[in-house]
Amino acid sequence: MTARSEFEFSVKLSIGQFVPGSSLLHMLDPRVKIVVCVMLIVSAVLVGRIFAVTLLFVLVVSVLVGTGVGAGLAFRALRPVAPFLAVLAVIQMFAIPQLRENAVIVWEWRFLHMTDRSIVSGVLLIGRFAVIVMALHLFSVTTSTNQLIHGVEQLVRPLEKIGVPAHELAMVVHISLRFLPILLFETEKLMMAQASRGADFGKGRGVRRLRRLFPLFVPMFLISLRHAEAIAESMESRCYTGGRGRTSRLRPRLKRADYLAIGAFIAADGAILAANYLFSEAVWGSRALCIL
Amino acid sequence: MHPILFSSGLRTAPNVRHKTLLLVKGVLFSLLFALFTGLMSKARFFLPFTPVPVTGQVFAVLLGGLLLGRVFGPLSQAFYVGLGLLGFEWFSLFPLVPTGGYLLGFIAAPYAVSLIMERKTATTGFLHTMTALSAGVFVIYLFGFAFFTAATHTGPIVSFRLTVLPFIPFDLAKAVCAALIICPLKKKYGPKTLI
Repeated sequence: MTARSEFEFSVKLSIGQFVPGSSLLHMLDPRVKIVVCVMLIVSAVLVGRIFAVTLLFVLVVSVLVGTGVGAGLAFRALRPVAPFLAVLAVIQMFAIPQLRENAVIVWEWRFLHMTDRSIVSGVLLIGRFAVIVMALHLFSVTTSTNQLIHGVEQLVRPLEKIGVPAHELAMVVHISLRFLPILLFETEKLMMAQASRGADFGKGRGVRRLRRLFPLFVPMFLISLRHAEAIAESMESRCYTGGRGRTSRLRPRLKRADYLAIGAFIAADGAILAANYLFSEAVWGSRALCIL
Repeated sequence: MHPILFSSGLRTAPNVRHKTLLLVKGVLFSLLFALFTGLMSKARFFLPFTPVPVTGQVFAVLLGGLLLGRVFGPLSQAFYVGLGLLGFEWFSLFPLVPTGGYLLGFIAAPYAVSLIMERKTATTGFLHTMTALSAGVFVIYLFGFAFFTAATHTGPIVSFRLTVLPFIPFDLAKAVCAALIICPLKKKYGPKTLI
């Protein structure tokens, strides 16, 4: 099993699986969930204080628990990336030069320095990552592919006037979601077939590694070309003529619950962002407070 | 490369409109290129004095710009970043660490590459391809440098020394590799992209 694992891509997709259910989140309009998810990711990138990231994390977890999705499902997404994340955080702490004048060196050994700022940035990295993964998870667990595609199309449709192709964008999302597992599976199959005939993908670096990959990708391109022709033909034989004039059987309307949900979320997220900027060094003057 | 890949004509599906096939083919090829970028990112090593690793991704990004064109080149990198966020363990550069700017640069670079490649007035051949690729590398540096400077609050000169200067020879080598692969193909099949 361990020998095979280097070829297995599809098992690595830990999040992004829709779990059917009847929680409040499942019932919400997909547009609301897309907006909430994007806002969560943007605010996770924007906040620069540990307490604010913690609050965002608490917000996501409480949404997941409060709406009956369950936190266990959410934490499952974090588990496979945790070791990788820890390594990244350590790199962040030591390798990024925190050349700020007011950083205090906490620990020092030969050429390694750890400043209070670098500890904060390491912790922030983990926090932001956790919030982003949970936000994506919150979205993907409760939204089916169909809902996602309708949501994207409806959300982008107002932008059609300035030339953004809403329907094509939704179609891109649809095709990629549908065919990613298939392409991964085909790649695995091809790699295993080549490995059984003596190909070695594991070792080597740089150019040598690159040259080993080319025999893999040429047949992959041919396979996907064949897929593409089959999909295009089957789409056309079902009267697909592009986005112009196309109507949809499902027309999700925003309900009162949707407005309430998005209102409550914007209030909570705004409060966290405002707190993040208010607790600055300039306002409070206290160093410990501003670092946290 | 297989000659069929460069043919814009249809083989098995003669009744399909070109636009539908273009869309589907573009998406599937973009996904493959995202996969390719992911595998290339595994070929990486760190230089001792900078937190930014040397990776094979840049090669895949440049090749994506040359082969996929200005719509699907950036899309393939967007897929790469998106799949990285969804739990694929291939991102050596996560968007949140100070080196995340490079990821944004990866999305923008294929656009720059194909924009120059599509210009008919410029010189053709190796020089033209290298100009396009250099523009792509420049875009990657631009994003990487700006993001790093903003995220770590280092001075621009220190940041330049850490994020741009050591990588120029490596990235030029990758660009030359990409150009050496692409130029004979373009000579043989004309200035088409794969899509």
